[in-house]
Amino acid sequence: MTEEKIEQLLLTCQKPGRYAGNEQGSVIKDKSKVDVRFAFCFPDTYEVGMSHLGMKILYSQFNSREDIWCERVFAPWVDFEEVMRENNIPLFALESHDPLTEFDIIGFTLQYELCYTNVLNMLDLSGIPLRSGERKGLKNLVVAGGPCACNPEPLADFVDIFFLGEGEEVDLELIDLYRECRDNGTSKEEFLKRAAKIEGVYVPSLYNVEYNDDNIIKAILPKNGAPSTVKKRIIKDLDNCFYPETFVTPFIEIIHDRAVQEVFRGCIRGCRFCQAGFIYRPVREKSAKTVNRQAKCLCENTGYEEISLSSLSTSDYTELESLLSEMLQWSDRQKVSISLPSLRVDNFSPELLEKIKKVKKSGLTFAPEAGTQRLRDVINKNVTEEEIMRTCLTAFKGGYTSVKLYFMLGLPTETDEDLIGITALGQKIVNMFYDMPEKPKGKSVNVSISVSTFVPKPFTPFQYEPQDDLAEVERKQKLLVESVTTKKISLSWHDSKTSILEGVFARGDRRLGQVIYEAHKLGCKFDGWGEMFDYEKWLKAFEIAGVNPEFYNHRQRDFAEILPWSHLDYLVSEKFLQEENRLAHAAATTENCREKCSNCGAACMKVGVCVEKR
Amino acid sequence: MLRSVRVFYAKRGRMKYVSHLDMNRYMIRLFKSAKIPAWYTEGFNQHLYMTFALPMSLGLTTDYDVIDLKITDDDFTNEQILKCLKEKAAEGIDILNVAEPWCKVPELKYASYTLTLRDADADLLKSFEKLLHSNAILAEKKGKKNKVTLLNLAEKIRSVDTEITGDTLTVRVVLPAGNQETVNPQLFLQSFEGAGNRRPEVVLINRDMLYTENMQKFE
Repeated sequence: MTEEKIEQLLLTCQKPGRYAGNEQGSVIKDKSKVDVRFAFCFPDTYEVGMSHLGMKILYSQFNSREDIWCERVFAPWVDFEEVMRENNIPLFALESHDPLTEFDIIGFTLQYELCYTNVLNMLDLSGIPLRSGERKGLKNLVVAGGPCACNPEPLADFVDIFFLGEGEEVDLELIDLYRECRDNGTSKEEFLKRAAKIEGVYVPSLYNVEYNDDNIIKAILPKNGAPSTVKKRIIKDLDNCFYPETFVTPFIEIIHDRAVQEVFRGCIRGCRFCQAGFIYRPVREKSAKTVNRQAKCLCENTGYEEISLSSLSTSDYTELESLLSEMLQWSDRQKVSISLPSLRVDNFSPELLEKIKKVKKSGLTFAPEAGTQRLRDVINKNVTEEEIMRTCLTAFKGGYTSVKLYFMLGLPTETDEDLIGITALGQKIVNMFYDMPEKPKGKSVNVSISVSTFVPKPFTPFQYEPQDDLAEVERKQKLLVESVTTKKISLSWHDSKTSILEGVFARGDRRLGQVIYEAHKLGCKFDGWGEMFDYEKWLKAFEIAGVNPEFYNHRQRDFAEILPWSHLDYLVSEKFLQEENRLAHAAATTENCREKCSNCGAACMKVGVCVEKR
Repeated sequence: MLRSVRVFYAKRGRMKYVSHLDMNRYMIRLFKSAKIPAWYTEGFNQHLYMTFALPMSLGLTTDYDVIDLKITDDDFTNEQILKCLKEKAAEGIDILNVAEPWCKVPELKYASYTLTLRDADADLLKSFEKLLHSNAILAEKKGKKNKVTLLNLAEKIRSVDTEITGDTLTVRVVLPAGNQETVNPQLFLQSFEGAGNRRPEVVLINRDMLYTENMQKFE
């Protein structure tokens, strides 16, 4: 009945392709023949979720096991949610259209803090109790992973298990334990106790958090034999790690509508604001041979006409040039274009540009992040103005007439001079274009400057820093706008209120669970979407829950403070982060992992860049 | 030598939620992943050359649709193309045949449809049936740039046949289709609602066949 009801209603909403399933590459199994059903939930729209590589990897990997059927679930957009609620249709998975209540395990991937209300809303739409304590048996076990799991405390009330680090191994170990416990009739409590013994599995209900009178954490106490610290998992050998041979290829256009080939994990740079640069350590590369083989296979199986070489900083890939030469041999013939996201200004060569130009010409984007050398040193960005100028010149000489530059506002120690430096740099680039003797006739230049608001994140050297408050962010944005002197610069910036909220949840503790709950009750959802975000409702939620948001983001934290994520181990040591923080305040830079080991702690894994010859 | 081929296929089930634009992208990927040696245009923006004889609106299924493309490899037979496509096609896309185009696309003049409508109210179905046999079925057709033209669908119907069984009304209708004029069968529903009626539940709208001027199968 539900299937027919869904069919009828799909045509009444925008983009029914978001909910229809049946895409090329989607996996249909006979549910009577599988043992564990896993609902992989992405708490945002189909178009966003389907662009996410991690989901594609785990989806294929789980489904490569005969006994597991993994299906995809996305947050329905508000128009369809309304129709679903009116017609009593519970949230369903795309492959079977079965409601989530029929699934053994419901797994969320947490890519950004502003999706937390969507997690609750998706459980609510499924008719599944929100709090883990209210879900008694093993059915509908709620698990979560992804970068936000490095400080999962705001969701501690709702999620049974968090996976720390990379999921390829630990997820399957947990599924196997689940199956065993379910078949033996083990209680949920006992199962969670046993799960907590798996490395990379964090069971928040097995920890008591005590607070001092000033609201700072007094102690995080494990119980029932849970480990005092939980260490993240990593894949040691990426060449032999599972990688999908095909993707689910959507019918509707998604955000990143292309094949994606991972080239390495981690980043050698250690930019001090960048959470990804720390939580994915150590850097581990795939060999060019593997990358080339997997990329070719993906393009052939999906029929995609574009493939992107994905990593945190693709121009740092040691075998990039030889890889591109290899790939161009088949990509040209197969009419596949190669795109390189995340290029750096300090190793962008004319040869590289030549190779990119052979395939489809795409935009050039670089991220200097800060407007002055002093501030770039503070954040350890390690690029010089000269390098930025030279890169833009290379691009202009190569025929490009527009470049896009990313910056951040509100970085620690930032002054107004640093801010004005952003637009001044833009102006210099514009001037350089016009000073070029070989400048293309009749063509104008465009420098897009995109400025986001800095949010201090856990496991970075800036995890101790206060975030600028709303008034200060808005003052700085105004200052920036006023400093633009030419129409050749297009300036855009992020909404400051969402950044403030992101800041609260990034470094929040368990007491925020009640706030998320109240916000959900007030109807907050899709908070990352400008048209949906309602700051007033959030302020009300904080008020009802009796929690002061300023405690979380506008306060300088002491090095000695117990942080909400102190019991989680992402390989980088607190000592290292504190030393990096001191260096930041002295505007002193740190060498990248390839130049010199800075003893962050990740070398304990004895893999990747940590064991490379320097 | 370039060779023209016509791919005949059916689009059913959940594929009805795939719009024409999305179908366009999907077919390119299907041809690529099936390794069909299809011809690419050679301009500034090179793309796989392919033509849908009659784009379909979202929500409709079809038993018979055609796409034309050009093949660059003479040794790659139609049977091979059929086999490769069948292997890769998504659930709901049924590749029926691959053959040399017999009719030219402008020769396409009519399409036949089956509409299956359901309602508990027998009178409602009867009045819908009555409307279809009347000589004034007025509907607004939205064209490009929001241009609205008032149509009398009764003048457009080549043939119509209706049948009520229990709570279900089945309509078989032949309407103009092709380069010069296409009439969307969903306009009947719009016309019915426009006259102040409640819309019956649409179980299915299916395009059954494509025809030439003298009602020969479009092949």
